[in-house]
Amino acid sequence: MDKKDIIAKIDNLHIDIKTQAGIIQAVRGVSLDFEAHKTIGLIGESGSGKSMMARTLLGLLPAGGAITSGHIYYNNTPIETYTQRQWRNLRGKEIAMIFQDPMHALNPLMTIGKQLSEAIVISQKVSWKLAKIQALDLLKKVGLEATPERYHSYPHQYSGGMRQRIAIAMALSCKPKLLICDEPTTALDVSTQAQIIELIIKLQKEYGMAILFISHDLSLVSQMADEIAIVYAGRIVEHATTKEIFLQPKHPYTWALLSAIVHFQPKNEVLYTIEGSPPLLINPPKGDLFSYRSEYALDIDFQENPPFFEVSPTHRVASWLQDPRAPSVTMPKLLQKQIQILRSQQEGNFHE
Amino acid sequence: MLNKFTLVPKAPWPTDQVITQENLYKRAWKLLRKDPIALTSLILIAVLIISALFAPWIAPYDPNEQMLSKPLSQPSPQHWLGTDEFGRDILSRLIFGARISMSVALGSQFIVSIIGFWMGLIAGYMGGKIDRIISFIIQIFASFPYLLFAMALIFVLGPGLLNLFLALGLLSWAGTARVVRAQVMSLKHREFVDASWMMGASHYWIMTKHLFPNVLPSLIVLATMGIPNAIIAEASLSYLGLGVRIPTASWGQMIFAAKPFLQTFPLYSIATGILMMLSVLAFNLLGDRLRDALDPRLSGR
Amino acid sequence: MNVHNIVARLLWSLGVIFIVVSTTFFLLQILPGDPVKLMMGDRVDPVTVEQVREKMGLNKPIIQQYIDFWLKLLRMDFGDSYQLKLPVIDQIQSASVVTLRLAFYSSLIAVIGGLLFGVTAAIFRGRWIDNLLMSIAVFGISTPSFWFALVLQLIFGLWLQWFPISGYQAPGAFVLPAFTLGLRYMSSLARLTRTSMLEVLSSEYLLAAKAKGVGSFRLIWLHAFGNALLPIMTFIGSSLADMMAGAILIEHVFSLPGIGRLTFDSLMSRDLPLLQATVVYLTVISVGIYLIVDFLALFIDPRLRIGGKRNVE
Repeated sequence: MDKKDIIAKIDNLHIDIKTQAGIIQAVRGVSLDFEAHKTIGLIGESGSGKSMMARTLLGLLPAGGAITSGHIYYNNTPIETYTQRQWRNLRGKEIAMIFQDPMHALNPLMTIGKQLSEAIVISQKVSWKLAKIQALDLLKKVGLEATPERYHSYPHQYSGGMRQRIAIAMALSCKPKLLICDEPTTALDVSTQAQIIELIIKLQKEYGMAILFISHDLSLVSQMADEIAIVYAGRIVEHATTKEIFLQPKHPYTWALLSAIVHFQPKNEVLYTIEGSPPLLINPPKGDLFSYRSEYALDIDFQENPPFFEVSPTHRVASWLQDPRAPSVTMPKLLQKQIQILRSQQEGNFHE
Repeated sequence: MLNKFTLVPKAPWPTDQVITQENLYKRAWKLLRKDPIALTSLILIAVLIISALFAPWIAPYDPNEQMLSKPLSQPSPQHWLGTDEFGRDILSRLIFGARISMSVALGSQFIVSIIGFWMGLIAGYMGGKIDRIISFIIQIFASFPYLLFAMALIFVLGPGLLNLFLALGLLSWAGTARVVRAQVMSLKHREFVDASWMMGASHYWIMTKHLFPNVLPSLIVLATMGIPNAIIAEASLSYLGLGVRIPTASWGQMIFAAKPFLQTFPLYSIATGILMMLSVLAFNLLGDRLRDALDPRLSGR
Repeated sequence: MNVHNIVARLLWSLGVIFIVVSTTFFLLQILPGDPVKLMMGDRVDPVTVEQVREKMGLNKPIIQQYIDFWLKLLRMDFGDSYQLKLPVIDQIQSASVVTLRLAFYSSLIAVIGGLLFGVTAAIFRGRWIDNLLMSIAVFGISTPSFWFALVLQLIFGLWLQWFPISGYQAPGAFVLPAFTLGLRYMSSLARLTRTSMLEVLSSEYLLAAKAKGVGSFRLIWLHAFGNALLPIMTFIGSSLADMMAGAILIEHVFSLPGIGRLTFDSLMSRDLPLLQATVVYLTVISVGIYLIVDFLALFIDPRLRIGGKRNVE
């Protein structure tokens, strides 16, 4: 595919959330392009604003939340000013979402068949009878038995992994162009996690949708993402192909995240960690917010927010360390060594 | 310019950005102080309690002094709200009525809190068979119309202030006990309780030093929210002649006495009712605000 | 819930009825006053008193009386009342017609009004309609029903003369009583429904349903309402049971010859057989309401109905 098939894009998006404690600047200028067949992994700690980015793509910001500036384009049309009615024509038809906790993402009082059929009836305007046939088909597609018994059972009769399969079936019922996965495997055990990831990869091949995969787990995302965007305090700090993130990380925050991956860590050695937790974004001070937790903070970090520096056409970093005037700083030695090993072992093994 | 690009040591997050952990009660008070509704309610409640305490000095007349020459007289500079069927000053009777209302409400809620706390604490802390027995008792008390049983109890015990305390207190503790039980059950296995237990603290020590302070916010909220119900229950019983002994002034009894003069002298009934409604309203509104400030978990009640 | 649970629930209800009825029986024994004198007046000669005593079985040991009481009760025989000397069961029957009508209308107002107000307020959270409805509700729970009844009597009965202020046969006789009795419960139900609804509206499954593109009407009534109803079912049950006792005051104010009035009168005149019967009646009704509510919850919630036996992956 030569020409990029851009399905949706967000452009310099800012989101504020009004709360009792004050206005939280949850998202502070984020731009991303979503391309068909491609997966973007969005990585960040909880509270970094990544879930807000997901919800805004469906027009489902929580009460008090609003887009203050920037745009969301879908098929080159700005949609951030859509009314609820217009949103409803996109939701569950063009854009679908899978949620974090499968235990709570299904209505406990409705059979899973009914919930699945409902999604089909809404998106395709078919009769309930026809929807049921399709629903059974979808159950099979996500690896569940397509029996009437399954169709008529309730969510509480299923395990977490199976519920997530049902939720995926529901999201896919409309053959979406863009699928948002908000930490879809966080609540599951490791083996189920792998199965769900495999399922999503398989279904993407079949349907060709763009995927935004949100997670705090870098190694998990590396299994399926083409690009990875690292988010800190409502901003993207580093954005590159998965390979570049793992082999040529530039931002100290990315270094920290990489160092935290278990299989990267040699026994009994701590590579590099960051202390503290992401800041609460009510009246944040100016400058680069990560500098308050960074070992490599520059004086300018506390005054001015860094722009993006382009490392390669597919790699951008928001850090003053990339400025030619900045002192040369190298990543921690241990991480360097680990990346060296990774480079020799896994060259070409990343999802591409 | 170049020196902007030098490495600097880690800077602390600016202090005005840090949310400090404050004392729960201080924070609640800060919230309430800023809320006009909570503040108005508080002032109204303060006025009520002060007039109840100092009724003999505030009331312009003796509430039981009969001026037979002027029964049912309209409001006048001497009698702001007029006089009742026996020529007694209505305003003075209302002020003395607040005494009964407030003492029954506060007294019964005190009993409710004590019984509810201990029942809930023992059930939640001990668990097992004791928990099942207490839960069964709670269920029975919670599922029966307590006004009916209060009537029967007053009838057996006879009218009077103390019996009102007892009847309303003994019959309405189930809700409090249920909340305390649930909270104690979730607190029981928290680290600080385990740690204290391992250090050899007695059950009593753990209950009073660790569990009580944690349950206290809920107890305060529940008691505040229980007061309005107690005021209405006392008035209902007095209305039916099962409250304090006549001629002691009480709001419920006054509304009953005003009934025959509804058309000819509506102020009698309306003034009494509005005063009662306002005091109930003040406690309800304060209760809502207190709950939001102290213990939002209780909002399902 | 399986058969075992249903049987357990029924047994529990019977147990509660047994405990309450027995407690009342013994409580009434310690009431001051000699029942025979109460029944026949003070000026009866001692011989007659003895005869009556014998006839009523009041000379037997208390345990024997208690057993006799239950045996009679099972045959629906409550004896004759002291005051009117009529079979108690007949009095209960005629009074119950009035009370059940009153309770039916006021529970309609309370339940339908309460749920509707609560859901509407939750949907429009923070907007003027929410503020308006919640202000009405807080006034509703703060207004003593018997006083509000008087105010309505004054306005709609005496001044406007739209509705009668007493009796139960005239058309519209139940409007004011049902409204005053229902208002309080409607208000507290509206507050609870709002809270419960808000919780459901912020749940992940509702967000997921929205993400599916479910329309707002379907979202509220099909997805949210049932889930919001579950935690308030018990409250609805206890409100309805409580309403039976609240009827005592309302029937008093509106001079309605219902069960509440009968209970009150029998208490004041120490008419023991009548009082005992009204307590039994109210207890059975309350327990019945709780049972109905429990079965309704069973009907709504599949988690109670079908065990959580998980399908194996």
